[in-house]
Amino acid sequence: MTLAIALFGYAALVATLAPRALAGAWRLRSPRLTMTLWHASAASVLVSLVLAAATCVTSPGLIQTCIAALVGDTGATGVLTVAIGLLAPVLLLARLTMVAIAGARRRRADRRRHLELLSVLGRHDSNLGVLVVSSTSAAAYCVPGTDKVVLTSGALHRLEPAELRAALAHERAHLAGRHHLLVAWAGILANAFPGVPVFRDLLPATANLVELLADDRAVRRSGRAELVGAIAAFTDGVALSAGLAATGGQVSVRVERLLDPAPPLPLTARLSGAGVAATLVALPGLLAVLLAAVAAGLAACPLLLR
Amino acid sequence: MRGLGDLEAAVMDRLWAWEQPATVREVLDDLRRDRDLAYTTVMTVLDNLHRKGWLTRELDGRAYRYRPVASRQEYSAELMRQALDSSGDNTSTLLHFVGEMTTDEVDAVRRALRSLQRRARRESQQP
Ligand SMILES: [Zn+2]
Repeated sequence: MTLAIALFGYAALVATLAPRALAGAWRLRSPRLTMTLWHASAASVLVSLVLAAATCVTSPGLIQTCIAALVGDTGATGVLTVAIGLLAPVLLLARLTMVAIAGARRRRADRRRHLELLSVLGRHDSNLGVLVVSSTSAAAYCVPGTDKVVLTSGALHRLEPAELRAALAHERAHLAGRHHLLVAWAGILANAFPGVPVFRDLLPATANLVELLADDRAVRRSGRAELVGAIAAFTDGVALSAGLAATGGQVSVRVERLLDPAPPLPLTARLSGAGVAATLVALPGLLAVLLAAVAAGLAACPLLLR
Repeated sequence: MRGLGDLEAAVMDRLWAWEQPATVREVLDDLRRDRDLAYTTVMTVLDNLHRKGWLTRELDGRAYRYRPVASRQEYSAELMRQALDSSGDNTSTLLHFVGEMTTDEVDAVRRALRSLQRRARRESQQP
């Protein structure tokens, strides 16, 4: 039982502390490491919760006592405890699966409809290797799961050739990095358990970090000034969000970061960050093994002393 | 032109421009001015568009007359609605270059660009 409490406690700790720890300005200096730490934290919490619930089955002591206190000790309490211990992780994973399936289905339907509209309204530009749709608005985006990059004629009209290269490099970085999978996974956790801070915040954090990753690649491919110019060229044609949107402030963060690039984190910091990520993922399992070993040791003690 | 997809676009373009229902033969005759096509190819394309819900058709004598279900503007509006929506649940449906911005943010980005341009000018003046 100690094991279940320790795992629950650990999960609660990581779930609340990780979002705060990962909000520092250093996240802009190494988006890849920050992304790794976010997803390692979320995975760690998820695994701890499943393990904690599962250990209720193997050591049903406390729950059994509680139930016995509530309804009186009948022969059924043991069965009930095991049922709860079994049910909790099953419900957890079932919720996750349901949200995942619903999300995937909706995205697939949306993308299919979008591709259908593109097939009739889009014009293939073989020089640029993109689809152009006619609109005065400025938009550039890719359709994940395909190799399609789409530009509006309004965007094409606003961009200098070098800026256009930067914008396309950004979009191709999204496709090559398969960023949609990271965002989709973060969306599953956020939609399934919005009450858990680390899951809720994982989605905006991931959505913002993939933009930084794509920007970094675009800078290497084309240039810093070109990328800033491209972003600025969009300012009179993008969709304006009413008030403070969830994504509000993100574009200016990108631009500030591009104009005043802080040096990447030193190697030692990056290595220790990677170490923390690995520990986060491994810890729940280690904790379970360790405590189980201690418990087994304690249980064996009387036998040894005798 | 590449494959049936582009042919679908060409057929829709013509039907939108004509603003009246047309038969396979009429569409074929018009398309043949640009390229060589078989009657069955155009029939397949019109049939596909009908099946996908882009065209309706009515029997006129022995041939179907096809007509767009909605105007180009309506489809464009739908396309752009999807294309510009980068918020909430749509964050991973399409991945954007620049998502939605607040007006404050638009100002901040423009200021940043001007400072970059000033810096570039200074640098070019001091070789
Ligand atoms: Zn992007």
